[in-house]
Amino acid sequence: MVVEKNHRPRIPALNTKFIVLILVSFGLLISDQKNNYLSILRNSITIALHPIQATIDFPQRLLYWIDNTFSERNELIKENKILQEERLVNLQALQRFDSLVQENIRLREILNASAKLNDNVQIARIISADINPFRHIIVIDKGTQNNLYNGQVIVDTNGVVGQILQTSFLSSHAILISDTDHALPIEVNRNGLRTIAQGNGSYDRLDIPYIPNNADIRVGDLIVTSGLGGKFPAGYPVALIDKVSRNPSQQFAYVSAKPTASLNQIREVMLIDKQ
Amino acid sequence: MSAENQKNSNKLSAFILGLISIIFTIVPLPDFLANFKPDWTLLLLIFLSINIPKEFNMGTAFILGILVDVSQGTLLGQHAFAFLLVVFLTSKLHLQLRNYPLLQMTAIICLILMMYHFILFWINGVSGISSSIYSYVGPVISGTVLWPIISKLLGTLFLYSTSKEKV
Repeated sequence: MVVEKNHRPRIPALNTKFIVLILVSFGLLISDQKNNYLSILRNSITIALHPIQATIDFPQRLLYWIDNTFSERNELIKENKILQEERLVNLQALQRFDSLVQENIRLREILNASAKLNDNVQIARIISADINPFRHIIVIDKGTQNNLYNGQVIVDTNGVVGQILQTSFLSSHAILISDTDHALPIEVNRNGLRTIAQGNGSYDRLDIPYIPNNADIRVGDLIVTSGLGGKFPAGYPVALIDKVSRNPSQQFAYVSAKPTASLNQIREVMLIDKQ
Repeated sequence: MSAENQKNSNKLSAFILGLISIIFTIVPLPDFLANFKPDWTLLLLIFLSINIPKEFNMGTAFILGILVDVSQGTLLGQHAFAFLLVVFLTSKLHLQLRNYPLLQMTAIICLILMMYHFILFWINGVSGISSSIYSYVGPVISGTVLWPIISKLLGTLFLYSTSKEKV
């Protein structure tokens, strides 16, 4: 009889390995959902993956650079002219802004309220990377290296974009206001009606779910951050109301709004430092 | 070629392909294709666990799963969990799967992809993340369509210790 030496089963210890690893990943799942114990692990892997993201982003950056460098002279002149005009309009608006700031500070002093109108701002670039298909999450090219912190608010030139979800050393993940898991405290700019706006998973719509049927809200109203909740500074534009339908049989009116920031087209964002 | 050399060369190819699959996962696609992005990493894992289950099984699935989780910002362990279940199934059935005709095998792969996306859907549901149905159905379709090409391509890159006839 021939006895085979070194006989091993075809797949060694498959079941044990499977059970151990499945338990480990289940444990990871639960602890990651409930609290933040795993952020160190996640951060270190994110740093290791950073070169990959940078590589993917490189071609787009290169294209952008080529586009900038080799654009036509008259195009540049045209752009310059437009920018000059914009600047003049902005300067004119700023003249009034200065006096309004002064007035505001005076009024706040009368009310004994603390005045804080200037926020520190950093500019960050969005790394073109396709993150989580189930959620609206972006990656930006600044991290704890640049003193970013979790919950920091992100805006673009037109309005609120979102907030930082996770920082790592070189990059950060940020959640957009259109994510289904995101809600922010807002008020109607015209009359100060306060409520919250929820993302509904599409880039060009926010739901405003808790508006009573008799509330004073109209299509075209600008909604701004109310500053309640302490995360978002007050007064940044969020969205324009684009649909109001009142149904007496329902408890609340159906109201939706279109974000003023074009959430799926932004390239650069500004980070507001409140600390 | 000695068995040791063969193992090393397979390990190297698997490492490089793993990296490439993660890069492919992160690369953004144009909007109309965005919902149809195949699960590159999973397809690679299925191939490895069907054809070389001795060398690549649970450990590979777990590591790749964690990498995908971190790079996509999903719950840590979500993809690892789903990958492990799929690889358990495919490596248990590898002797049958690799002898199936291509069409039949592709049909099975389609079922496996459905199961995989059901697991992701389930974990998302439990943790309260809702998403459109297209982000689950799209990858199943594209993965099934691409499987014959992927399995043929990958087949040229790896060295098998036993030929199909012998096992």
